[in-house]
Amino acid sequence: MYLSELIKKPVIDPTGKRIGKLKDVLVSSEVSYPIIKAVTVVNSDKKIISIPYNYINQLGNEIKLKNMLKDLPEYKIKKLDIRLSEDVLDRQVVDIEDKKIRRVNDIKLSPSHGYYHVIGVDIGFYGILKRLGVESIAKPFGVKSNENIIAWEDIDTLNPDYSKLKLKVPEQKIKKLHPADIAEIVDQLSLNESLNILNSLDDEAAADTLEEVSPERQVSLLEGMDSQRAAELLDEMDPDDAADVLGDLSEEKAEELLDLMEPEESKDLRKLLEYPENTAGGIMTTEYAYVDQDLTVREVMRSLREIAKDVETIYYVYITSKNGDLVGVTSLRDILLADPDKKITDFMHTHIIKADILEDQEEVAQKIAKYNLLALPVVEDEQKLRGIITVDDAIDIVLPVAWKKRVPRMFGR
Amino acid sequence: MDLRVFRRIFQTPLILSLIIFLGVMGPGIITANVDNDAGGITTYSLAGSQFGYSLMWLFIPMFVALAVIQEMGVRLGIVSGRGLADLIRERVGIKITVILMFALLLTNFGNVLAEFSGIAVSSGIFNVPRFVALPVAALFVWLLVVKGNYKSVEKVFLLASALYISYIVAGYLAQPNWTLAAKNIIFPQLSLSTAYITMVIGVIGTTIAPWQMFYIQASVVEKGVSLKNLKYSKIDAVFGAMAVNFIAFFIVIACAATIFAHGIPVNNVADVSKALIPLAGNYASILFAFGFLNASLFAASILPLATSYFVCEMLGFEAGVNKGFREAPVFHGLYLGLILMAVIIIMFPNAPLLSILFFSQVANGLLLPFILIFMLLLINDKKIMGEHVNSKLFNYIAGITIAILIGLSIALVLTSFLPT
Repeated sequence: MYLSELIKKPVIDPTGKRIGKLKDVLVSSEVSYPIIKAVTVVNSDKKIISIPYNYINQLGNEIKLKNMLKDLPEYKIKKLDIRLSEDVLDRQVVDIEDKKIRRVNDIKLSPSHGYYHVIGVDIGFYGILKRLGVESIAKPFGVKSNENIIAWEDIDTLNPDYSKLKLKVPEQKIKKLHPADIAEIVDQLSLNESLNILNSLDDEAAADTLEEVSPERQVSLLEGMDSQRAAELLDEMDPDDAADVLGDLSEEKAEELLDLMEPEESKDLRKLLEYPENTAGGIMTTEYAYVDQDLTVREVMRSLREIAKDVETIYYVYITSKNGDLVGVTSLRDILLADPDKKITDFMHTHIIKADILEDQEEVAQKIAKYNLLALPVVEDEQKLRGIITVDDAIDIVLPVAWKKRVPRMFGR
Repeated sequence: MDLRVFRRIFQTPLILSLIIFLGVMGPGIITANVDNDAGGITTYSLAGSQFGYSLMWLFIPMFVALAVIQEMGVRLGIVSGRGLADLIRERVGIKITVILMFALLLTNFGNVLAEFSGIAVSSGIFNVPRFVALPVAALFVWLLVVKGNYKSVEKVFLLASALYISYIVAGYLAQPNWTLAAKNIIFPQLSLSTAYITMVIGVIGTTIAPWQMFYIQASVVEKGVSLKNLKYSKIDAVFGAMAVNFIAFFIVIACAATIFAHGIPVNNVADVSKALIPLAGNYASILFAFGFLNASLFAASILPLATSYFVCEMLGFEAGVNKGFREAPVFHGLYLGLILMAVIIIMFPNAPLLSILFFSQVANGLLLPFILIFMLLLINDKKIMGEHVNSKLFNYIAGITIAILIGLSIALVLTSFLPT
């Protein structure tokens, strides 16, 4: 989208009544690809009204407002705000040595998450044709519809003299943006937004959010944020998810983050990272509920209360021997219904469905589906309990990502 | 010898001011003098030949109009630091700018053609065939700008301005009736005949052309005259207006004293030059033709230059005589292109020279009102001019001047279509 497509477009209130024409668009001069903060509208009495962007329903051939005019707060224009039409459009672009480059024929805006970012200024010939409204006439004459966009980042917007637009870099180093670059910038911008969101959340909420995004995004988010904070989020994440992300990061970065994490968590993770990615060991979590085989039901209950907040599920409780061998499994329901003085070994299931730590993840998922399990224990050397795989991790394997988002999470915090 | 004497002399306020003035001087004098281009000289000599001393009074209002416009031009340029085309684009947006640009391009090209046809005519007087004169002239004006920088080019232009003295000499050689001339300035002899009114319109119409406003502003900007020297630049602008009218006065007087006095019919500068031989002598005739050649050559460089300036300013390309071809390819390309095209067209033996002069005059007249109005708008814009906006009184003077000029331009366009 271009600035020229917005200027002078009618502005209407929610009832469809015309308020005036769009006069200008305001952005901050302090960020590299600023979002539209507000617009100014000139009404039929030639009065100028400035409206914050939040009160605009949509930008386009018609600019629709969310509220009636009288309910709109006035946007106070700040000193460092740039008026795109008045201060930038048609101005001379000069390089760092004040050598003239071209004039600003238009300004490129790109939507991202409901906001519009200023991407750059178009200095191309086609930009002139477009503003004259003759681009369709020029096309048969072989005029190519090339954009010639200088990245907004390269412009010194803090220079208060808007009579010319000064570049921050030598002419040879100007970023001339192609459509693919613009897509990348927008992606980059939404990354910044996601980072801002993540940074505003507490560790726990941030970790949950991080678990939900695509692996590629997880990587770029973790790389984008402060390492200390990234390590804290990894501490909070489920070990299996954390291990997955760490597996996707570069080795040095993963190592750096592991070193910053709490020793206890990182020890588990390092172990998890040793197993190949698409085996049971690669997807399992090490936070599961297990109790010693000598305990009574009462003691088990007490133990569960203590560990419940750190494990992924307490519905299945695994019973191990002194040397860590898996000897049985029982459910929370059975424990609740049992006599508190009874020994746990008296009613546990000893015929255990389990997966080997190197078993293929697909087979693991099929096993969970076949036996209608909520979790499956993972063992090494036939009986050493190493972790569990929960049903939602199994779903991740069999369902595409898009589907996954519609399935509510069953476990976790 | 005690050199301190010199230092003391240089430090007296008057001498110091004079030195600064000599440094700032240029744009106003040059721009004004190009008024006396091929079209201007033709008009003035015909005015003198056909109406004698009776149009002399015109030089007073012409001086005022030119001085007012030139003063506004240098003020706008020095205060804003930008050319007129820059300001128009930033003020009125791209649509009007592009329309204006094409109109100006066409008009100026007509003017460039007129100047080269002036070169062809004057070289004809000296018996040099146009096939030789035109390419040489084109090469000269091209090399001047491509090889020179602003300072050297300005010096050449100032020299060309000085060569207009040939008209003063020619006028003196014609032995005019000075008392009659003076009487006509103070007590105008008005006539209401169609021919007289047409000539009044023609004379004033050639005085101010749209390209001038662009050129004077672009050149003070490129020269980099600082705000504290604004007053010297204003003197330059007013002095230029005075000088050009002084020269024009002598052109009219030379023709009035000789050709008009003997009632010889003339149609162009070649006729005038030929008619001067028996009446004022060989020297006067040669000086007259030489002045015409100088004027055409001078304008043949300034007009393409002015055109290149405003096109580049409007589109934001690097521009300036100080910039080399590589730095400002569009500017130099346009300058060369305009000269080449003009030479090629004028080289054709049957090139319709009179129609070209006619066309360029009409186009100038049509465009002038718009440029003057934009200029008045810009010079009253506080955002651009700050405290240097027009005063109320000056606005009245400028407003009246511009209104009269607009009226005359329209009249000129209309009379151009009347059969003569």
